[in-house]
Amino acid sequence: MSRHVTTSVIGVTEFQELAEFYRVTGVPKVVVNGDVEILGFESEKNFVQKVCGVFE
Amino acid sequence: MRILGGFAGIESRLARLTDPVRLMFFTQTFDCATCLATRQILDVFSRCSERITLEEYNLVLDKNTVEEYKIKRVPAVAIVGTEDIGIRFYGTPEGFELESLVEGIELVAGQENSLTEVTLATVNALERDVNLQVFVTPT
Repeated sequence: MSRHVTTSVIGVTEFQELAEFYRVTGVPKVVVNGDVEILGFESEKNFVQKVCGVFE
Repeated sequence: MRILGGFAGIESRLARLTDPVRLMFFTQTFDCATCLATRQILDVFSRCSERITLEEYNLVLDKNTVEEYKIKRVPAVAIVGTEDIGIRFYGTPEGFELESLVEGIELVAGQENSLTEVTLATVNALERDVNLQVFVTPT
């Protein structure tokens, strides 16, 4: 696994303020580098493309 | 084990671990409604495998460790193998989120994963930091 990737799983129930800050209206929702948002299930290929798209 | 009720496969998966895993549990004495429940679940996990070591740290008292592992809120679990690859779990791992915790443990323990070679190559080629915050609910 890459040393460049860190991952936090965050329970919306316990951390509602954080969920509100990132406007979490459904799960799963992934926030990449505090900016790019991926809502709902994505295929592995699409997910990787969206995550790596952060740098484009 | 009642906590793992309905998730019987978890016990056998954890029992198959071959590499050591540290479950670094971060808690605080006051104002944490779900810290005790989280600790109880982690207790069960640690009893499933001799490879799993459960450690407890206090968000207020263990400042050095809190800073080293960049913990900002509790309950939190840093899932650490022979090295720390930055996997954290914030909240109580219950319901279907038990599976997330198990997969995190298997990942740091070097178990096989299902990612494609293309994905692994892409991720390994990253030259800049990526932080993923995955928001979930238990069900």
